[in-house]
Amino acid sequence: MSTHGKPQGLEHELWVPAEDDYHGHPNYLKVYIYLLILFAITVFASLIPNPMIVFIVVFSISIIKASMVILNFMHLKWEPNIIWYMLLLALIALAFLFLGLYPDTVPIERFFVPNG
Amino acid sequence: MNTTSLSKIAWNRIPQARFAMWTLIAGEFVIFGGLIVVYLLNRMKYPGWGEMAMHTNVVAGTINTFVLLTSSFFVVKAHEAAVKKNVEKVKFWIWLTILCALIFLGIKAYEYTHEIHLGFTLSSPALLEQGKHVETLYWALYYTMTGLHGLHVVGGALALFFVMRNVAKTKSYFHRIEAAGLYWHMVDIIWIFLFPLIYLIH
Repeated sequence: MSTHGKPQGLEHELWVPAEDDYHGHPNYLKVYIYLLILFAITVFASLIPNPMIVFIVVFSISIIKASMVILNFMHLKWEPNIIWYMLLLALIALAFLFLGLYPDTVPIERFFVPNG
Repeated sequence: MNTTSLSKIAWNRIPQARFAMWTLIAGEFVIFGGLIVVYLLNRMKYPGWGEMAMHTNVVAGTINTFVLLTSSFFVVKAHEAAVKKNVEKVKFWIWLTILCALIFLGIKAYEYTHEIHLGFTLSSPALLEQGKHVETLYWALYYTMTGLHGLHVVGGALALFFVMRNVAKTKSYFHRIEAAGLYWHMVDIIWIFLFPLIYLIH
């Protein structure tokens, strides 16, 4: 394999040829402005008097904001499936943690129907 | 924009540094995600936690969120400059990111000072004396989550500084800007979830 034009030494091993930089570069300023708009909505939504509605709205917006950062700024959109699976595995682990600990947070009576 | 289809990219085409960083990020998501899960479950169980959350400084948290979102934009601009091998622009954007990290830490230090002054600490002896054991747990988790996140901010800023210095000195190793940048975005994503949970939901 020709090494013409490649840097030598350690960087030779880590060097990424331009054609292998498969990432796209979206309009970062546009993504940033959208993030700021969603951030402003989050702050105003917190003024709603009902804490449950506040939780649903702000947590949903947080998921959208995090997705925008991870897809566009971290370029996950362009990464191969193996990276997606790795992150999915992390989310599944968290779901198991949530489900495993959930019974500790509700009163025990809710799990048993009285025999009468 | 590069429109290469995902199906055409083989997993072994991922540069080593990028792959290693994604592995680290997946692990970090489990650590912070675990803390967030514990916070959510306890928040559901103990209504007293809502009262405690009202003692956090919403203005400081809001400014810090703006600062971190902006720093994420700066670091992705540094990555863009790194792709073009423009050392001066890489330095410019990374210095701005480090400035954001310092502002974030300064505001967090101010918040901690105020909260400790009010008697809210890792063990909160003043609350224990009043018999508010459950409320003490809130502050223990608050300091664990924000403190661990703060350490990641320090680590990310140091990584960015050393990578930038190395790039400026050698005019190579540009791919490391992207790897350090990925770490920085992760720090931002964690804060995106911590901010509403800690400051906005009472």
